[in-house]
Amino acid sequence: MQAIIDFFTQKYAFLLFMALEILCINLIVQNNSYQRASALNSTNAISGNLLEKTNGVKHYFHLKETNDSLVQENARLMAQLAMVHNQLFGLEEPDFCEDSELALKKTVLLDTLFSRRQQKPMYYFIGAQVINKSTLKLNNTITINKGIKDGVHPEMGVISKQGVVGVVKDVSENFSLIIPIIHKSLRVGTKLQSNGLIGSLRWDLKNPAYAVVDDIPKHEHISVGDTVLTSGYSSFFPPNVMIGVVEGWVLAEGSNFYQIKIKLATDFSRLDYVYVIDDKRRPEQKVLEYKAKNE
Amino acid sequence: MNNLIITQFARFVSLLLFQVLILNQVEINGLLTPYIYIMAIMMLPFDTPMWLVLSAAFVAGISVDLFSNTIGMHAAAAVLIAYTRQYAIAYNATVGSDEFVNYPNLSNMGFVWFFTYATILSIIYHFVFFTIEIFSFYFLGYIILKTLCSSALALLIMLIYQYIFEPKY
Repeated sequence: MQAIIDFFTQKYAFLLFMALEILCINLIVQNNSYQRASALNSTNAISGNLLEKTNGVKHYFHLKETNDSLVQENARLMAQLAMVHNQLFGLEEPDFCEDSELALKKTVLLDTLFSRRQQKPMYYFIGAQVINKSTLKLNNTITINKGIKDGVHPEMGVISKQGVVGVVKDVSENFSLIIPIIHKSLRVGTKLQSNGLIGSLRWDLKNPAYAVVDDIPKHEHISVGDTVLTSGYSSFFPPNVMIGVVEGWVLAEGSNFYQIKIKLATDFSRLDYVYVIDDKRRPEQKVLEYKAKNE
Repeated sequence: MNNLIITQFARFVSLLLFQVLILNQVEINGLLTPYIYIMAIMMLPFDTPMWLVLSAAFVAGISVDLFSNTIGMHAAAAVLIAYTRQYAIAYNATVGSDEFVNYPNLSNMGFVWFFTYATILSIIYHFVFFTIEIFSFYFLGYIILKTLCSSALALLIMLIYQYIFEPKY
């Protein structure tokens, strides 16, 4: 008995060291999966609030840039609105043609745009400010200042005015943690604008401005400068959200698929305001897919 | 004695805040991500009991983890250097001065002693942390390069700290 007590008193430092290391490894392994929710991250009350306060100071240095970009975005949205307005009401002008064809056209148009059966818009956007981010690590993360209170839930897509940003991983009362597309384990479904080819996006692990699209077979034609959009097959993002532009490609020897290098549209180093996408039909889709999987 | 505890505690907290609120926000290059809060662990008094060194390192590591969403990674590396600290001190022991000193810093121990001590520990820390973070020896070259660059920058900041806040009396 004495020998055992002696052993523990002599070696207690080493045992404590081992115990702490095992605890750490346990924590790392538990939180390794990017999909698994956890409470131990920057969305907790202490670090969230501290980060938000410091970001308040940092924010002042970028006020002018932020204003300029918001004005630009307003201008773009106004142009879009004018275009839609034109399409909708421009048709009403030729009053003299009284045939039914036009009436049909009108209703079809109204149906696709206003969708009478479904009065509510399909997507809501929750605006949020970035309060903490890392762009130069392999496991990059972004923390924003909106949480459960504002209707943010895990697995919602996040975009900025430039393009896709990432997916919400964890939420707390007032903050959310986003896994950006520049993270080693996030993949996003993509589509090439010119020919509609489906691929999947992953980060190139080195530069926050570039990513790689896989899974496009080598017999297809790819052109530099082509736009890469979200495919809309994954439930994170609506279809046709900007991701980036094709810069070039590599065809590894013996491989049947291109590795297409993409310049990302989102400038992560200057990311300031983002929009969380609240897809109102998502729960329905998930229930349906879950049912199909379990049958 | 009380004074020493307060100084150590204040250094601990301020280095942590400096690390998470300022240094982590400065993103110069992927190769330069220095972690200097470990200096708080390096500068604990020589006669601090081992359990306190280990738990302090764990708390410090977890706090940095909470802010950078790398839960457990910094803590694992910090606990490791807290344990290896005694060997780094023993390795350097002969170089130290004869006067009685409470805790290691540049003016107490001399440049060579402190520099060797800090270099050993920060290289271990950065290497272990980057290895855990990247978790693939495919990137071994990159990990080593990143360790060297980041440790060099961390040591530079630590030395500046020593000259400003720990002057010779």
